[in-house]
Amino acid sequence: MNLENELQAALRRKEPPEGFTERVLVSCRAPRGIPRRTGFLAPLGMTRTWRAAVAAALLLAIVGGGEAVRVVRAKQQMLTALHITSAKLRGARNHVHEISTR
Amino acid sequence: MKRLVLTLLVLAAATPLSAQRLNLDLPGLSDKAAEIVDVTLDGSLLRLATKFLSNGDPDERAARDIVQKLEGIYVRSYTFDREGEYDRGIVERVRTQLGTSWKKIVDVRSRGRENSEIYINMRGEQPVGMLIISAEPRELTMVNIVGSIDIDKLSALEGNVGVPYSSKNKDKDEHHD
Repeated sequence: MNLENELQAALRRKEPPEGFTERVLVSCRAPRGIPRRTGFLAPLGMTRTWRAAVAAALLLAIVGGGEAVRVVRAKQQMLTALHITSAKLRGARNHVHEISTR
Repeated sequence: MKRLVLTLLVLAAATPLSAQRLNLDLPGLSDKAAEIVDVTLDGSLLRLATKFLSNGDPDERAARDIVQKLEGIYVRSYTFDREGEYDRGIVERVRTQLGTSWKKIVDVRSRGRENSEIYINMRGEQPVGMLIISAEPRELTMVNIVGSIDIDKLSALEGNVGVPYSSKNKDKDEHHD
C-alpha cells in the first residue's frame, strides 16, 4: 500500500511555481549560444562545416603543390641530364674527329 | 621442380636489367668540388617528367622520344676550383662495375685536356645501357643511362632541350667543327 500512496503523491498534479511560464518563454526566445570555435581557423569566425571545407582545400593545395614541385624538379633534372649527356657525346665525337683529321 | 627452374630462369633473365645501374658516387669528391650536379632519375620519375614535356615544342618532343625508352638517368658532375684537385684514377671504381656485356666504344685521351670514355651495354644488337666518363683537369663528369638508347638522337639534342647552351661547349664546338 505504501507504494500506491507514494505513486499517487508523485503523480499528483502540481501547479507550477510563480513565473515559470514566463521564464520558459524568455529562454526560448533568447538567441542560441554561439557554437564554440576552436582550431587554427577559429579566428576566421566560420562555422564548423566551412572550416572543414577550407581545411580540406588547404590540404589539397599543399599536397598538390608538393607534387607539382616534384614534377617540375624532375623535368628540370631530366633536361639537365640530357643536356650534359649530349654535350659530352658531342665533345667526344669532336675530339675523335679532330684526331682523325690531323 | 619445373616451376623452380622456370623461376630461376626468369630471375636470371631479369638480373642484367636491374644490374645496369652503376654506382657513380665516389667518396671524397663532393667535399672537394666547388660545383656539383647530381641527377638521379629512375623510371618512375622519368615517366612523371615526360608527362609534362610540351607537345607543341619539337625539342621537348624529341626529348620525350628519347626518354620514354629509358629506365633511368644518373649524372654526377664535379667542378673543381683548381686543376689536379681530384685523382683521375678514382673513376676506376666505376669501370670495375662493368660486366662483360659492356663494350668501350670511345676512348680519347689527351694530356692536359679532356679524357673521354664511352661504354655501351649491349644486349644482342640493342644498346641497353651507357656510361660516359669525361675527365677534364678541373671537371669530372659521369653519366649512366639505363634503357634502350638512341645515341644519334641523344647527341643531336645539344642546346635544344630548354637548357641554355653553355658558352664553354659552344666555343669548343665552334673550334672543332
